[in-house]
Amino acid sequence: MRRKLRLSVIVSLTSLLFTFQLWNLYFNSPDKFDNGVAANTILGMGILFSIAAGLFAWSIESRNEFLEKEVKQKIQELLQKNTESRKAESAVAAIYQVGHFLFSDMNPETLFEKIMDLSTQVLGADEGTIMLLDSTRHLTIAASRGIPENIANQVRLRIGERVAGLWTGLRITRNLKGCSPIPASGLPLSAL
Amino acid sequence: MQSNPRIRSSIVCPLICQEELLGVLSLNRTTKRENFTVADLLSVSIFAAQAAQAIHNSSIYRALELKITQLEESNKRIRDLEQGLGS
Repeated sequence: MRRKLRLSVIVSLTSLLFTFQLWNLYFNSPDKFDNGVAANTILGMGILFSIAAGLFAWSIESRNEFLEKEVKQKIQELLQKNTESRKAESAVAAIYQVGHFLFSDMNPETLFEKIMDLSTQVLGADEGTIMLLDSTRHLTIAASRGIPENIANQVRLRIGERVAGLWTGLRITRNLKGCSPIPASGLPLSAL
Repeated sequence: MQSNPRIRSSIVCPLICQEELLGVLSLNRTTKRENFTVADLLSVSIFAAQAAQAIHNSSIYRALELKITQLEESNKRIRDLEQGLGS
């Protein structure tokens, strides 16, 4: 606001200074025509021009301020996006490292426990299950977290039955609170 | 399908290795306020692919161990027979 006002006043005063100099030149000219009328006309027009120039400077400065704000906002957004993508990148790198850690275990029972521990820790989940297909194509719980053992031992689902069975049948990853499904290839559907 | 009011957010991911469906990995948030994000979804799918590969490897390893045990037993029986024939 102060910058706009200062610029407008400077532009107006400069215009007025030139106007007065011109007026002075005409008013004191030794020519024969009516110097007073010409000088006053120039003075009037000069004053109007000075006001217009001041207003123009004000609008230009307003536009500048607006653009500066826009640029600052865009820079902030880009910085935020950059930070987010770096976070996502490091999360994916961590997931890869965690995944490689799994390959060191060849005992299925301890492997399932490891998968459960890592997945719940890395993704901040309170509950989790690994359900495996048996020879009769039924899903049974191989390892679980946050689920009572007596319940986990009883679970036996057909493909297509309940949430786990349904998404097993469809072979896509699903976040049940509104995120896009991810096919088995690992690419989100929205990116396909 | 009935929703479980206790579960705030859930991710269900199939465990697939070499186009073979092994099972499903399911993760739930019950106490945390934040829902799983798209980034979490992507992380789970990467993790699940690696977990499926590890499960597949371990099952192959177990099958190999079984085969080795069987072969060792067969070998032992053959040696016993050879010894029996030798004496």
